[in-house]
Amino acid sequence: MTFPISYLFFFLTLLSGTTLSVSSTSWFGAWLGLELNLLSFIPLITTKLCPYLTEAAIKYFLIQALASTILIMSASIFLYAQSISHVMILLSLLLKLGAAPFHFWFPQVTEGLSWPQAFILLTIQKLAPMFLISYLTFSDTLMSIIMFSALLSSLVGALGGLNMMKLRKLMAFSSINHMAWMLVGIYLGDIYWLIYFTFYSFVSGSVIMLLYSTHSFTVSNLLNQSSKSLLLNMFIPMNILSLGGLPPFLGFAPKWIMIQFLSANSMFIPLLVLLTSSLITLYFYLRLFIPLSLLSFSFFISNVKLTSLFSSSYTLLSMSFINIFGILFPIPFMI
Amino acid sequence: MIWKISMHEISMLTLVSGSVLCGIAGIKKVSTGVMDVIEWELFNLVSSSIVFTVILDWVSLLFMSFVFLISGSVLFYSGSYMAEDKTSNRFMYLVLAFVLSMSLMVLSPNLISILLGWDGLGLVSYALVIYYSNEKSANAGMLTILSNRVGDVAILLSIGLMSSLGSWNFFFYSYYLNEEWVLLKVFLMISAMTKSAQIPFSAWLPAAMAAPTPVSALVHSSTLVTAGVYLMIRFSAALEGSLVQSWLLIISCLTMFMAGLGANFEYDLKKIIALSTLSQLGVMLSILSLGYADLAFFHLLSHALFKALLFMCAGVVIHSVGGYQDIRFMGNLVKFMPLTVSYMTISNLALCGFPFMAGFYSKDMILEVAFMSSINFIALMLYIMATGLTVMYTMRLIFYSISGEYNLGSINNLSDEDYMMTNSMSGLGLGAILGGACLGWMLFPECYMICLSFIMKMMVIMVSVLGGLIGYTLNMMSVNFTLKSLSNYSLIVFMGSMWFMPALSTLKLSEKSLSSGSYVEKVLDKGWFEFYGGQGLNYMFSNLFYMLNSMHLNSVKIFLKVAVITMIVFMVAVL
Amino acid sequence: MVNFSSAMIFVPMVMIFCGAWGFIAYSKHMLNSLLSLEFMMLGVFWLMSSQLALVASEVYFSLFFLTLAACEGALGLTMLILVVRSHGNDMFSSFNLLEC
Repeated sequence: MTFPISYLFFFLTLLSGTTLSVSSTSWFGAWLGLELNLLSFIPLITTKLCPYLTEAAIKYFLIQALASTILIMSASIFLYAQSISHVMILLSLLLKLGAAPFHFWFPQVTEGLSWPQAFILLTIQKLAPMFLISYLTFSDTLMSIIMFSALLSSLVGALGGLNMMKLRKLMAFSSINHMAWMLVGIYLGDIYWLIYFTFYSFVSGSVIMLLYSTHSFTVSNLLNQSSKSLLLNMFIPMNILSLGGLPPFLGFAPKWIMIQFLSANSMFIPLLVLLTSSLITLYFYLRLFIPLSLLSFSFFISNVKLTSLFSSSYTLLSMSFINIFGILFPIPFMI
Repeated sequence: MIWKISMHEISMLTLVSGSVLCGIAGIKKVSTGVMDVIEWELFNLVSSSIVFTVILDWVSLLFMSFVFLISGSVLFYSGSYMAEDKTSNRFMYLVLAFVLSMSLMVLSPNLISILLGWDGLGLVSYALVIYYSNEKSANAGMLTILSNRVGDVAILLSIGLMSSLGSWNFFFYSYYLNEEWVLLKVFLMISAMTKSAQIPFSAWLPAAMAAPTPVSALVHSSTLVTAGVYLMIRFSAALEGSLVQSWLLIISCLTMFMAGLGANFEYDLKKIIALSTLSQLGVMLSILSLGYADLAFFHLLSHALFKALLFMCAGVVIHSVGGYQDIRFMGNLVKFMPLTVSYMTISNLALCGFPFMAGFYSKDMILEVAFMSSINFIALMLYIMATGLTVMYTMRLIFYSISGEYNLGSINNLSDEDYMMTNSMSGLGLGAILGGACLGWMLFPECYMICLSFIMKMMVIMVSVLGGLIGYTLNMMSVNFTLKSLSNYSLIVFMGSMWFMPALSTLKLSEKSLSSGSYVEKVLDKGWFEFYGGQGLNYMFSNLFYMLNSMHLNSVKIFLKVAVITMIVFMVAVL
Repeated sequence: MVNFSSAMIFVPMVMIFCGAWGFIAYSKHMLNSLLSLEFMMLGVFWLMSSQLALVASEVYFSLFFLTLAACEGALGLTMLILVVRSHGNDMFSSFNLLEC
């Protein structure tokens, strides 16, 4: 991947904006960081004069500008009406995040981006609003809004991706679904959503790298090139299933943690909703599996050349390997 | 140089030497009273060790010795019996696999390795029953394996129950299982009942006679069916004084009576012997459930000797009369094949408990101990009648096949001169005469104290003599006589068909369940469940998806409006 | 006697809501949206200056705010130029490539 040197600068300011908003003590500072983040993300996604990128950038900009305006406005009336201001800050953060009642822009914007930009949008751009939401857990009203948004996100993420044939939109919906788990994690405590976020970033990163390296944007893209390499044919489905949270793979680990603590806190109804929606997401992940594993001929070819194994990059290989077998790593230490 | 050594010779040599070794070791164990337990640790996972355990005490070693002796004789015997068979080597391999799984079952005190042997017994006996590959043997094999499956499932369930104990070595736990473990005891009793063909599961044992006769001699007479008795012997400490014990007493007494009665109405030579086996299994299990496991084991061993011999004699007879099994076609065989018929008579007398034959020591002791113990009246009557019935069907068999007139076709080739068969019977013949006495002296150095009234003491002899007389004279009928049994036709059918058990465990069991299964499949699985389950859910979710998708495919201005309106709605709701 | 402190809240709030109304309701030109956004920003500036004046006269903070609001406005205008170059106009009705 080649990129202009200005990328590095904007990427650094993007990260510093996130850091600023996460570590600030006032809502003004948080707003400052979010603005910085927005201002540096827009140059990152308008890399060339392409109508798709431009549209995605405009939509992202308008939504985020509205959200941050509402945020700073609510922060300003903090002294006058405290509870309203908190609720409005929370709602504007949910709008920034793309959580369920405010998620409409999210799939469209993701659809317009290229895979690395989509990865930034799916993971890093979520960090600052998530952190800010996790500071807003001190009253019952806020908690119930977070829970409502989480449950709605899980259903929307599951149903929205069901018949989706576009991979980036699919990733966006799966991200909405995972966001539901993270919001419930915020409900439980800081460490849970952070663990979930880390695992999710890793798993979705490896899936996105695989899809990026095969230049696939729709399911039919996957089908067309499925005869190329056995390795990709094996790794892409397994990584996708890991993203779905199927037990032997790494993606199951954070879900396991969440299931454990949700049932320990006897929050069975949220758990039921989350697990049901995860089942539906597994269904559409399995649909991606079919063209790769069942319809491709090379899945059954036995004489695989090792050169095809090593022609892929080592980063890709190691990430996929960890993604597939990561949950098994602690086993040698248990015996 | 190519040595032409056939498989049956090698197997005979190996197995008989194994038998001698096990026998010597077993005698040594009896004299010293030592029990060896060998544990082989396979691996150790998360501080729980996976151990393969082998138990070597006098019970297992003596049983192994008998299994090896009988299987060696049977393999040598089948070298002639199966000589014309195309796939006789496969037959030998199957018998050897049977011996292997039997020894796995006998030598392990662990429920899981017992399950391995147990399943192996069921599988190999299935393969042996369907050996002749015709419709009848396929049906019999299906009945056999499905009945035995019930026992396998029961063992699996008991494995599940025993998980909470921390180990499956039931042999060591059986002394400490109190009444709370009644479910475990019931499951193990059910598995023993299926393998030993006790009453609800009896139908498979006569049906399994579709197997080749050497197989019947080894598998369905003396070793396979005694596996259930052996399991109960190993488990007898846990049965002591429990409710399960009295259930087992009633069931086994009924089986004993039912099989003795059924054998008197049967005309198939092998089925008569199979029913007598069933009757003797009932004897073993009943004395076991009275609390005398050592007597049950004694009878198990002596019975194995003479019953295998009896089956081998039947095999020789069937082989030489040209495949006929109906005893009405035989008769006066004593003139044609004196040696075989003497062996057959020896084993028959041993079965009846004729004094100083093998069966006498065990059976007489069992009956007298049973009469002496606190036994209820029903069980006592069943015991007495079953004893008489045994002699009755034996005398009937002798009447039809050995004595009387010759009933077969005019051209025949009846002779004793197949030495491979008669030689292999000779060892067992010796055992059928001396085995009981030797075992009795060896296993019971102290005398049992028997204290009975005169009438009870003479009861066994009286009943036996009466049964023998009835059995011999009742069948002396001529063609001119009217058939008395036709007037009591329904009663005769009931008693002669093992109390309708074959019909009950095959057709009556399957027809309703099969038809209801197809109905349920049509209406539920392919009907409502599909309509509201898989397809219905898919339809509903797809509709929801299209609704959501049409919401997502809108202008960004709409999204902004929706976001602001949602915020206002939230604010109103919160305030 | 008019309570000026609540007037200093409500008047800028009305201004912000008017701006928001313009932002979400008029869906023809993108320039219109950018202007409404700036209008909202000005309202927030008023609101914030008045509130900061109440809290220990820290009006200096509003300069930070103005800086970033100006940056955001500049970025919006840049995107206006970008979209005019890629689409040929700034109508919202032409931003429909991703709506399928």
